[in-house]
Amino acid sequence: MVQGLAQQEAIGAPASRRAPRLRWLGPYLLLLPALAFIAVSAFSPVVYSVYLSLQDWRLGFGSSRIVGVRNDVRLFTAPDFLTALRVTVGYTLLTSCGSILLGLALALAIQHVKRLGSVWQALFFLPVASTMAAMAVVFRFMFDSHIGVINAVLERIGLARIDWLNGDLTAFAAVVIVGIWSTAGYAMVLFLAGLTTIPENLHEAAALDGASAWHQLRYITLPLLTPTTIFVVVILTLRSLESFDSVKVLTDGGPLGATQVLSHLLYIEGFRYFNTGYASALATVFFVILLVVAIVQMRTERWVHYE
Amino acid sequence: MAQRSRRTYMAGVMVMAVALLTTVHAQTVISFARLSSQAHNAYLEPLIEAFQAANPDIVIENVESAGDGYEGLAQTALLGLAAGTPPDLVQVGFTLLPTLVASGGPIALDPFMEASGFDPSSLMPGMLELGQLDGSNYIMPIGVSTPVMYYNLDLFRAAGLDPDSPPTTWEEARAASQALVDAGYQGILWGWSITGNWLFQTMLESAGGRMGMDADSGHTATFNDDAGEQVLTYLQSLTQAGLMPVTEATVQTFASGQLGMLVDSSFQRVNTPAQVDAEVRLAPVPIPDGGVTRLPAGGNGVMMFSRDQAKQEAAWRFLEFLAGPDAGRIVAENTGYTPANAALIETLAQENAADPDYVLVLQQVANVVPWHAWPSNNGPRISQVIKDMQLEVLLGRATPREALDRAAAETNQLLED
Repeated sequence: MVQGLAQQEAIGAPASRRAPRLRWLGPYLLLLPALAFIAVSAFSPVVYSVYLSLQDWRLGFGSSRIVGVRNDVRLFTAPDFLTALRVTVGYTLLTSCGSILLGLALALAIQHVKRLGSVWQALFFLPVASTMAAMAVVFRFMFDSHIGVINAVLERIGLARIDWLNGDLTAFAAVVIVGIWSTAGYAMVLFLAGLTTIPENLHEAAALDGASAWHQLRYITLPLLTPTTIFVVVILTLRSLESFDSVKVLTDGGPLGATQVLSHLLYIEGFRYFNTGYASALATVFFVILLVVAIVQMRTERWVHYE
Repeated sequence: MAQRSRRTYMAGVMVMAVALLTTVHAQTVISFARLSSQAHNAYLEPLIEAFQAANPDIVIENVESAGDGYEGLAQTALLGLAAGTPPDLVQVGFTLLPTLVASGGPIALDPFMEASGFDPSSLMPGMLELGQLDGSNYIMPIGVSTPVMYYNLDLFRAAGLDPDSPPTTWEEARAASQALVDAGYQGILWGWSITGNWLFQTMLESAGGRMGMDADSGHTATFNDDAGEQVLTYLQSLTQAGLMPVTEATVQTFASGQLGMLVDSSFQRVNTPAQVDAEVRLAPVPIPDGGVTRLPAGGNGVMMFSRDQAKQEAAWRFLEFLAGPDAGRIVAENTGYTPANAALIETLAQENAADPDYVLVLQQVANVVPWHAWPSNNGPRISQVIKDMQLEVLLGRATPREALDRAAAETNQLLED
């Protein structure tokens, strides 16, 4: 079949006249290997996960039974899940907003640094390039209320020690701080790339017209950065939503679920309690949430200002 | 002559090559999922080396664990089962026995024990029981760890305490902690977070309570009785008075050199004192006034998951080796685990009479009780419930009574599921 088509293509127009009905198949056949690869590597795990979510199955067990949507019903009535959903939304909003603002500020600052700009850039990008799990171990000890350096510093400057990882709000703050620390550099690099695309003559013309630095930022830089901003928002929101390693190492979802994000709850159910069916239901819901967020964000692209 | 010797040489090389190939071919490779942190490599690597040296026809291959600790190893076993390729051997913690056996994956060791004439009495009484379920043996123990108290002699001296008479009761421990705090240090840290329930069981049983019992309606939680309340009230009073830090970083906090006493696993006997820049000694875990010393056996053993008969036989030879005195000595010398081999414990106690810490750990085996394994697939979740219960109380978010009753109700619900 493929060989036949190839021959037709080789012969050209006369051949296509001979078999016009099959011609539409050509592009699809060429796409087939790539589509098959995507189906096997990307979609089949999703489909299998949905299939598992309909079962009562524990990891490694020989037997399982179909329970329909019982796992999903249990999910939406479980306090664990609802708390995790709330924590995830809060964490994602704070971490992505914080990273974007800090990243933008860093990018603007570095753009104006005439010397050693690339050194600063590399320095702030380092957290992105480092292994989060390893860094989180370091942060866990830094935040430790008794042996941590953060409390030692607070005490040195005359402030009270904070029991970071045992308080709901402080543990949450610690996780958010580490989240921002680890992604702000990523936003910075993207914003720096975005800033280079803004023509210098716009700023020069505005300056000639007497526009202040703030006005230039407000009416030239920020509007023209919107394509980059949209991209950064999409990437960082998805990254924050999926955040797992920092929570796992820093707080393990604690104290008492105060930093339990969905991805960590999913891990605990699936790999600590071995409730694979239930964890798959969680994964499916999580997948839908990610999908909706991504679609909504992509739709906002119509507001983008292109030069 | 030269040509002849060359021919002889070539023939020799060929014979050796064939012999080598035959040997390689005859080797059975078994996979072993095990703990691989520095502290665990310290005994597992020499164990594997010694076994392979004595059994050149068997090669033990390391399998990366899917996660941390015993849960990570259970994950590795269960993921392997789900994929149809479980590791031949898996190192396991004793409490995960019901969950793993319920999966249908582990191979009962009894037929191998009978066929090889294995003598169960060569092990310390109670050791094999740790790996038994429904009358079958599933785990060959490597060694047990018991709770023990580490104390910092330098801080004891600085706080005016007698380093030769560490506290033996809960109240003495409280008084010593107060003295340490008054001197500007931290008091005592009961390692409540270790596995979620290990030290809670230790304290509970020493106060006369039990984690759970078989009743007509099935197994039920009994840790919410008076003994349970006594334990949590005591711990809460320590944290509220600032005598105990609430942290899961037990060894690190002790290693900071600011903590006077740490109740933790004897597994750390070799490691922990080496990490502290001070003189450290071991003492028995303090008990309540009128209480008894009952120490849940921590530690681990090895389970067999091989499907192939040749691999099963090779795996059994490794398990049999683990029960022997040579393996026991490697374990004892590199960790704080007490080996399973009965005769060896006697010998080690005599050989190390000059090391009171070592002798204490060896002698503690006499007070070992089974670490409570909930007869349920929800065992790991119940451990988390009990851990959360303790944290709630330690942080002062619930009274001991409220937390105990809520956790017991939740445990009973999970036992029914």
